[in-house]
Amino acid sequence: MTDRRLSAPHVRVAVLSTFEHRCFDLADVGSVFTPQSDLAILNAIANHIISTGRVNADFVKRHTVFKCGQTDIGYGLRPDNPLQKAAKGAANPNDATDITFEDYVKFVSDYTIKKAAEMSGVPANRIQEVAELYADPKIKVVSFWTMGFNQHTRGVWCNNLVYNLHLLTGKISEPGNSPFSLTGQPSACGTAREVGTFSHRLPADMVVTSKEHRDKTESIWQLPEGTIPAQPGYHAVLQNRMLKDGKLNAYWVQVNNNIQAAPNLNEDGYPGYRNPENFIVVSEAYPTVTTACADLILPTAMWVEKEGACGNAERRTQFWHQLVDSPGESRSDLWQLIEFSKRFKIEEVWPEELLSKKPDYTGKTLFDVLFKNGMIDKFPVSDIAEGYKNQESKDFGFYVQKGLFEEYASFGRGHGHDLAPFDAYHEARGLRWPVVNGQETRWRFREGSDPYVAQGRDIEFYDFPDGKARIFALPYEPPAESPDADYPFWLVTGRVLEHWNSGSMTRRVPELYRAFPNSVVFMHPDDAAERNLRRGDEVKVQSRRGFIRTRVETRGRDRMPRNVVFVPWFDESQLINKVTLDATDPISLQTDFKKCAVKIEKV
Amino acid sequence: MIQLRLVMLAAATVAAVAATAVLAQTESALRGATPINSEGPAAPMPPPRNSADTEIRNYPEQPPLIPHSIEGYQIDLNSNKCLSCHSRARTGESGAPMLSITHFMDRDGQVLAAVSPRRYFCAQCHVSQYEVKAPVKNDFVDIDSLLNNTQSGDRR
Repeated sequence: MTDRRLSAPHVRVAVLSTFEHRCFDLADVGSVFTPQSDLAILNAIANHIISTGRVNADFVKRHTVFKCGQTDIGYGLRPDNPLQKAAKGAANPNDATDITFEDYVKFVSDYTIKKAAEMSGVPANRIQEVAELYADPKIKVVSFWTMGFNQHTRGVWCNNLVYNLHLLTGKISEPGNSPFSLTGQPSACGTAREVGTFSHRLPADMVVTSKEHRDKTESIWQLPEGTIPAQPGYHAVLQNRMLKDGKLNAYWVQVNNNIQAAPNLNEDGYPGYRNPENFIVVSEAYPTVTTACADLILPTAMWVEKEGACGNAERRTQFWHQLVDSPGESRSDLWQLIEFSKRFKIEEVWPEELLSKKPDYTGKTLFDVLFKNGMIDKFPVSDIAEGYKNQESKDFGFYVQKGLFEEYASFGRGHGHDLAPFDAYHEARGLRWPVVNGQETRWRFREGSDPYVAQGRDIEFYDFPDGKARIFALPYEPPAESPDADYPFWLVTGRVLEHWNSGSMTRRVPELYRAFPNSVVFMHPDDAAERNLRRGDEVKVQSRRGFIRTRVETRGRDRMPRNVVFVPWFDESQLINKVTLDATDPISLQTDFKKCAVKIEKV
Repeated sequence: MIQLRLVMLAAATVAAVAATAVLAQTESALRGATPINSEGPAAPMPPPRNSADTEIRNYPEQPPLIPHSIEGYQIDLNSNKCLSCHSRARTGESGAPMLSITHFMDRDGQVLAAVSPRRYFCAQCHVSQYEVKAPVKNDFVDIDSLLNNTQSGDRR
């Protein structure tokens, strides 16, 4: 992006955030908005596109339909929370009704630039400048976003609202024009969403709530009808609540530092993990605060200590070989799961009724049914590229990764999710799906680039039966918690460049540790001065749920507006998630780590 | 399901045995002695390292560390304070090392007359240091030691 901005004089960069960070160093137009008012700004930009007559009418008519989303959808809090009780739309947050273009125009007309300026604190002329970038048919626009959009109690709405801008103007699915979520690097997109490792999902973007999807999955997995429950399991935030309530008793965490990463540690995470009714297993490569809360720790191999793959946000699937042995007796997460499956006979885990549909499975182990089933064990160890080790395949006697991948790929082939044959990925430096006849897809939904678009359609959003994208009417709704007289600051949590997430790896690299040794609370110098605080003073950052002790930072890379503080969460000696609120987006079920109310007191 | 229960009971017994060992491990070098359900004092904010001595790189491709403080440096669209010493033309008077030749190449490896725009934001790769001891020892072995320890004739 820097290369593009500095090489081409006509390129402009607009940055919108709740405080000034390093992205503002490249910004031509920088806007700091009040938390949650992004919803109003995005609708005001849509209104500006419409009211100045710059809707791409042909594109909108041919390729989009309009929907009005369910409102008042709550905050993903416990059912007895007053906010949750009061939310009228909480039962069906993902519902939407059909509306016309005229209905949509009327809906957004309420969001004038003036109103958005009042709500956000961003000067009206600056919102207008950003709006013009989208509205001007001669300007190509790429919108990038990351955690601030997604970790938001209305995160799905924010995503819909930015897509609206690209769809109203037809600025999508071609070079230089696209909305692009920067999350999923390197694994959340391809290794969680696409492959289905969520409580409600199945491989290739299918879901457990669909009978058709369950049937297909059970058939590929060679399981009797009814094996997969139609009810989603506990989602990530609910897991901690259920551990605390004693409803989830056996819990296996694989290479995830969730005691540090999950919200509201004091009220849910810690009491949940330490609940004596529960047995917690943590597979990890490093000692973390999560392993410290475990009943059993399984030493675990890291990425180049095993063969594997990941998928990126741009649909690129990438492979790597095992390059070194993992130390000691540590084994990969995959090895642990397969080995575990040998410990169970099928009649120990299936009710009689289910087993009666597949009586030939009687006496077999889960390992036999899930892995040594003619599908996963189809490829011999001799298929492994010469010169590379493969611990799992050596121990189990077949090329585990190849069998698993080919089975997974069979879910999506012929359905717009096509993956190349396994071996192709060890040759190429990643391929973007759908890969059809050896060709990857660079711009999805665009004729000539995406083979799934029918001839003469130009653009086809074929994930929907009508081939049309959805433009959503979605309002501003307030955040779950806002500053007040007792807790006067917004708390935003996030990252610093030097440390990867919870820092379990990067804080063990001396150069990176010394570059950013401990977390701090970034605050506006005037906010600090009013409280008689100076840079380096020790303070308590306290919410209704907990506190940390940290140091005041009024200089450096992040420049805060008044009444907003920022605390990076990488530091296990300052567990900021004791302070955060476990409010989630009721649709995506992702936590809002960017908004809760705190007070700052000198220690 | 009954069988699964039995497995869980057995697991719970293991938990009781493991508990003592786990408690001993809660003290970690990166968190200190404070238990997880409590919060200890914040470590003091250390001074920035400020010297002219360069540190030897661990491997050839490592972006060199910045040995001096960069507090208050402006690096944005309008100006880049680092270049006022490290740009080619200024290194004579400043005595600072010139930017690597790689920083004059575009993404296709073509050498440009001036610093490549894609290398403009120095702090994306180069970091300064605080005067603080890293609490976890790192046993990284550099390539020379690795080669010296292999048998002669093994690889060249």
